[in-house]
Amino acid sequence: MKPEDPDPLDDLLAQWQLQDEPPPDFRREVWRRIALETREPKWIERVAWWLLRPKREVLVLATAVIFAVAWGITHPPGYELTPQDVYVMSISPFDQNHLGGSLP
Amino acid sequence: MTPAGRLLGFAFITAAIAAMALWVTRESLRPRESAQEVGLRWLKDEYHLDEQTFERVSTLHRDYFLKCDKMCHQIAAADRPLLWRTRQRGRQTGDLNAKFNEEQALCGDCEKATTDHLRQVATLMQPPEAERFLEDILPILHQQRLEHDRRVSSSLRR
Repeated sequence: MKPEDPDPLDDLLAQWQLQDEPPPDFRREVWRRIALETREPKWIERVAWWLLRPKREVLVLATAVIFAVAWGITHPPGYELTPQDVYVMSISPFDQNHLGGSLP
Repeated sequence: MTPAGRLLGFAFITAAIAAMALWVTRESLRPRESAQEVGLRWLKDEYHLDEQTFERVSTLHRDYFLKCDKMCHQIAAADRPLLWRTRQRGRQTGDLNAKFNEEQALCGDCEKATTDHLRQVATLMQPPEAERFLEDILPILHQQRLEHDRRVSSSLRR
């Protein structure tokens, strides 16, 4: 067949009209099938979905930093040695920490 | 990235930033005093030194600290060949004994210098406080000397 020859099937297809209406619960059925195929999200996905929003992320981050700073202020670093031990360390040539000079 | 992965990443970043904030806070609050300053402050509070006495005690200590550092370096230098004996198997026993005797003489001098310093400090205190001070510190010094000698001796026996 030459390319310019009309295909009789084209005319037939042009005349073809679908007579059937979609069933009345067509849309509901589509959504039902989609719902059947879609699995329930896991708890971690729910948490991630809830938490990972810019405003909540900033809020969580700021809260963590405030808690860390508050903890640092209420638990300042102390010496592992008593002041008396520190004194002995500073005057005793036999103290093992003496030459280090820094406070443990 | 999966939601779980994103959540984990966020938790990790939050924990890292919080840890950094904690570290910066604690470091900014860390006392900047030296061991000598902390020790002297304790001495003043514990033995109820007035300002004038504390000034004299501090001067005595400043002079002593220089001497003490020098002694410590001398002891460390004398200890080194004895504590590292295991690496020097070729050394003669007589040579080590001589070094040990030198080290012991040096330690004796250092202990005496420290004891003299402490007694000198005690003379500046009120008698009951002076007695308590010497009772508090001298036994510790003596104990440290014994431990030091034990460490050196056990190294020589190995």
